[in-house]
Amino acid sequence: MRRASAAISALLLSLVTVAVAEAGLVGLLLVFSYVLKIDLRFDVGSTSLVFASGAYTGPMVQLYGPSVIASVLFSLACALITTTWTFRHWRPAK
Amino acid sequence: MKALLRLYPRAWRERYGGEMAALVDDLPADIGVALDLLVGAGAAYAMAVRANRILSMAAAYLHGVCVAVLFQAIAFVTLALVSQQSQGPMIIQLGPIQFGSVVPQSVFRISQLQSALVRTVVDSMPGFVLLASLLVVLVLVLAAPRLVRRSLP
Repeated sequence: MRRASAAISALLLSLVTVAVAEAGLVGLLLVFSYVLKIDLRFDVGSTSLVFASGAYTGPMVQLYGPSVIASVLFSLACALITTTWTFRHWRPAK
Repeated sequence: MKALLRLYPRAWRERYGGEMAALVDDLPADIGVALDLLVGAGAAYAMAVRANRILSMAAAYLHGVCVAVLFQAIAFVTLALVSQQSQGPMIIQLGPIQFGSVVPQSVFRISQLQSALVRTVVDSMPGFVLLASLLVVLVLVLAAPRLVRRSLP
């Protein structure tokens, strides 16, 4: 029981970490689109979010639902690869 | 100055806190000592993390997420740079799955009055600076574990 709750806690914590990282990535994309004077549009499902840089000169970059899923999977994959590598190569300090 | 000792891990403070407080009392209260204490606190935490397998794995997880976010930010800036140069619409897809698209906007540009070369350089400069900065940050993040491992005893 204790192991199961620890495993669920670790799973939830890892998912929250990825969610926070994705939110940070969206923030970064907004800043970059403002700096680069491009309009950014997220089309996820039936929801659309448009961030206009206000410059009216640059192109509009549209990101669809699969890009969000791919981003989350990529972040999870990178995190799991580094975690697995550390788990296998960890040695106690001398 | 002694307040900075609170930044150290609890186990470290229990073991060395008394001696360190006496040492800090003898040192002048300047910015150099404060920086030393801050760097020391970081190193103490790094040692504590490295000594524990679970904490090491958690740190590796965070490291992997940071690297992934940086890679994606670099991909976005590269896409923005490419899209600034493209004349027509562009679709990013893998087989039948569409990830995104770039639509050029046909609005009058003041910069069109400038020569094409100057326009390209001026438009792309912030993108290249951003890309270079992100690459430097990525290299630093990738090298960080190795640097920490090398600097610790």
